Amino acid sequence: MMIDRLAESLNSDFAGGIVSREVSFGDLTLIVKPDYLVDIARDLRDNPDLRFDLLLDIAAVDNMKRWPEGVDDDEYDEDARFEVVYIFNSTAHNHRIRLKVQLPEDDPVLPTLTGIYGSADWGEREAFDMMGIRFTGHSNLKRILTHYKFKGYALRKDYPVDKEQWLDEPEPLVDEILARLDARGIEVRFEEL
Amino acid sequence: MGRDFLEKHRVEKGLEESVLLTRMDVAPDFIDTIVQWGRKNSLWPYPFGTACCAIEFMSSISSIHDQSRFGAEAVRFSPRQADMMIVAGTINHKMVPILKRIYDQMCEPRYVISMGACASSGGFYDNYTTVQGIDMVIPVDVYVAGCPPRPEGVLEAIVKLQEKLENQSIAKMPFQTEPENR
Repeated sequence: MMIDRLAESLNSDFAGGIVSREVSFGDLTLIVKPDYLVDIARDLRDNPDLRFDLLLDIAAVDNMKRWPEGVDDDEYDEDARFEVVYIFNSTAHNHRIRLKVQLPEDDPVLPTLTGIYGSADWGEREAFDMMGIRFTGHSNLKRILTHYKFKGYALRKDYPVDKEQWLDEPEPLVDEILARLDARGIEVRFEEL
Repeated sequence: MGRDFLEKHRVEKGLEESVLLTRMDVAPDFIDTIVQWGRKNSLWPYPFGTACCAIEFMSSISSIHDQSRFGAEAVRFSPRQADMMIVAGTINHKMVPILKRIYDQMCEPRYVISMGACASSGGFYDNYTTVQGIDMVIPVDVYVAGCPPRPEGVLEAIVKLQEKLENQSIAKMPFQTEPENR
């Protein structure tokens, strides 16, 4: 399917949720409102013309100003400091689409996509870990790469680039072990652990 | 054991074996020399490889460079069977408890070679993940420069370590571990 046809079939359903659209690097990129994200993602998967069956990646971008104080910073918009980018792929139709959601600086919250795409689980955990974007409805939203007692969000532009945190106690991971045992139907009394 | 050692101590050939004889007053020196000679020529490396330096370390083990010429070819993957740790690669903060624990589990006296820029100083990873040199966690005997070092660098580090062991008396061996960590 051509890229413009792709945009048409989306626009007819969720015209109010799409802020802007453009074609960049050969893929259609839509900026959508956070409230519409789950509905659009479900339609991307279930619509027979689209059938985006893979969520390839979730990336978070920090658009904070990068130049020193005093320099004109008109381009910086506090209501769009963070940008979460979802990349979908369709193995049936062999096409891709990019969804972007802009989030404000003070409280970046998004609904989770784990109910629709299983691969959103770790991607959202990474976005939470590195950028501090919270995903409501995620069943296990905790840090995935940095230490579980890490303070701050390491890839934000205002995190000092050379700031180290000495955290040398290993994470017990009892909650994950219990969940896995529970999924296999193995009962363990807590004293045995 | 050089010529001066053989001059100091008499060697007698018996019927079935060679016997070394020494006097009481030079006995500590005598034992030191034998232990040092044995220890320096039978280092047992434990490769703590976390990054590309470990690939280069494999090359120094294998036949072209042949680390066994220096008696340090028996690579063990259990710290209980090793006394020379070669930290080859980037050590990040989540790796620190593992590194410290494995160092504590190694046989004493034990030695550490910090291989490459990352292990020695953090390399170019001056950020939130990476330890700026493993000497903030464990003592290091020899540093090897390079990113990654050539296998010759590893061999030179082993030779430097051997020079250090030559002069280390067993009466002054560094034993460090608290018993509960062994």
